[in-house]
Amino acid sequence: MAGTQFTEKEMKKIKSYGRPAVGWFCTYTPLEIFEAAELTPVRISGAHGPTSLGDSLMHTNICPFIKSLVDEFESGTLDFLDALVLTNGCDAQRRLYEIVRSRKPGIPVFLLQVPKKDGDEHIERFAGEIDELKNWIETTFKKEIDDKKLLDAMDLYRYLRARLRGYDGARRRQPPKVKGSYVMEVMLQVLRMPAPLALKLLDEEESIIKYREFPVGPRLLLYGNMMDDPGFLRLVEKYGGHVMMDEVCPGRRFWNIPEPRPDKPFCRSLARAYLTKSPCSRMAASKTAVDVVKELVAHQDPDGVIVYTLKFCDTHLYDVPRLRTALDEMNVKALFLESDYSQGAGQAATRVQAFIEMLKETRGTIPRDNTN
Amino acid sequence: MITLGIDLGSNTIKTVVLEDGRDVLGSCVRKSGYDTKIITDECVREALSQAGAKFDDIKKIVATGYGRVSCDIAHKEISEITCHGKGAYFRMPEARTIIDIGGQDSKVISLSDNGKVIDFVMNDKCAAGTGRFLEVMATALGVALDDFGEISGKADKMIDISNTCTVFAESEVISLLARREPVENIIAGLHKSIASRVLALASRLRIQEPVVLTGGVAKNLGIKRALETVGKINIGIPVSPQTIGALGAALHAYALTLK
Repeated sequence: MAGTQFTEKEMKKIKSYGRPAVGWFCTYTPLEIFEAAELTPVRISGAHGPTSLGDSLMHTNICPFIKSLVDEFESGTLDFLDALVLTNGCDAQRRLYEIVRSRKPGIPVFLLQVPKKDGDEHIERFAGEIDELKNWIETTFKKEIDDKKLLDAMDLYRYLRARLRGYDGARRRQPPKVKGSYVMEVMLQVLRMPAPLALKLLDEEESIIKYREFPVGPRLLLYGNMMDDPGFLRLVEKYGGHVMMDEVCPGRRFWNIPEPRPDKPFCRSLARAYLTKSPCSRMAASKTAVDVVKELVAHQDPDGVIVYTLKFCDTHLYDVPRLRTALDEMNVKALFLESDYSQGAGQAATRVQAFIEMLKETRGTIPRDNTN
Repeated sequence: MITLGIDLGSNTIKTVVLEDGRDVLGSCVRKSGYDTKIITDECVREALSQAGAKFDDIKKIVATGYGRVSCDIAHKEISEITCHGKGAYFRMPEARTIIDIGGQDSKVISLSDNGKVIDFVMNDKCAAGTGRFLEVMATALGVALDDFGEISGKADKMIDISNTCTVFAESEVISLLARREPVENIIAGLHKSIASRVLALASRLRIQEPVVLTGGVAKNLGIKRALETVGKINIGIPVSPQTIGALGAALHAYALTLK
């Protein structure tokens, strides 16, 4: 059987927060609702290894991340969850919803319908969905979420996201104060704990990195759909590359959300903020995922871009040709990789190494400060 | 000054002994086999003996290829893409595109006017379009791989064979044999299949001529013909195409001594 992500130790840690645990992973999930009900948000993910049970329940052409989650559910490691919130972000996620609902009757599960556009009528519709999620959480956990609790939670997450933005910026200093792989590790921890504890963790981390400095090689922008493997970033670092910025789930797409206005109804403020955040490639909103990459390249002037794709993510893959053209026009080198969510593929290593060698030869290393 | 390049490929190990970054004094190609370390040592000894040099004469060693990480005598490991770029440019400075078909992968590399790698693509995780594909087919056909080039020269047509999966293509070949298709036409078809696969890969880059073909598969002239026919391009083959990667590694090792 495949390895699993949630070890005994990890579960104990989550339980030690003394709050009911609710699973999530799509960055369109408004965690403010969980915080207002005093729940621990637990970003679920799979082990970066071969899947087995997932393959028996799902077709070969299904996202390997979702399959690895099926492995986690089927092997029972996620049985500790008190609830689960999924979204209609992609077809694979909806299949996961069906599997959990039919095979894990002990875990209450909610499917949040996220619109693809960000016009007023879509915001109104999403506000209704968030309100329904709020009612569902209240009923499931027998708790009341009043306006004050929700406003406090919104404040807390606004602050947490600002702090994450600041922490993330440390890798764009000259010289960088933190490596990209480390930022991702911290991020993954933050997404599995209540926001007040996440802030404490960030305090500690910031005091650690204050005095650190790292030599910098080619500075890279990492763009992708789901990318939660610090091991891949360590591979980039091994060959002398520096991932100075990412636009992936759960990285920048988690914290790059406009501040929700403290206007009532709060669910509408949240809906507006989430629908106008750094977009997933599924969105048909006013700003597309490709627009964001173009903006980042223009502002940050990276030496190269790594476009990382989890296999079978159709909406992301449809963007790839447009992205290729856009990056070509901007005269920035790009490496396109497709991954099956398993670690340490030798072929990926060769491509990454060759890409970094190429950048060193053609761009050299020019010290630049990218704090802003 | 002597430098050494070692290319630990998926199928063969190649070594090149270079003097002053200019003259190849010795080289060797061996099947990788079970124990890479022993074969590497043999390969190094053979190249050194051709060069009339001793191991201690070597100033720097660079390793490349799939086995590069496990080569403990190397001072540095460099990807095979950079090494093929350097090696091909050294042999044929006019080259702007390199097609390298190795044992388990194929790659296409674009070079700038001064020989720097400016872009590259590699095949997906699949053996179709690589040397391994031809090896499997040689076994299925009962024909020695070394004879593929000559036999396919006699073909009067190139049969269409699927180019996406080695296993499916093998069963296709067996059916073609059962239908009594002449073996030369089947082999010509296999070459066309690899050529169209590699050219599809190359089309992601802007193919600029002159194009050179490197890697073990370049020894098979049938592949050169197929690439020229399907791609409507002229293909050059450097001296000793199989050791281009190792040569690039030896050149890089020489560059290290100058630092």
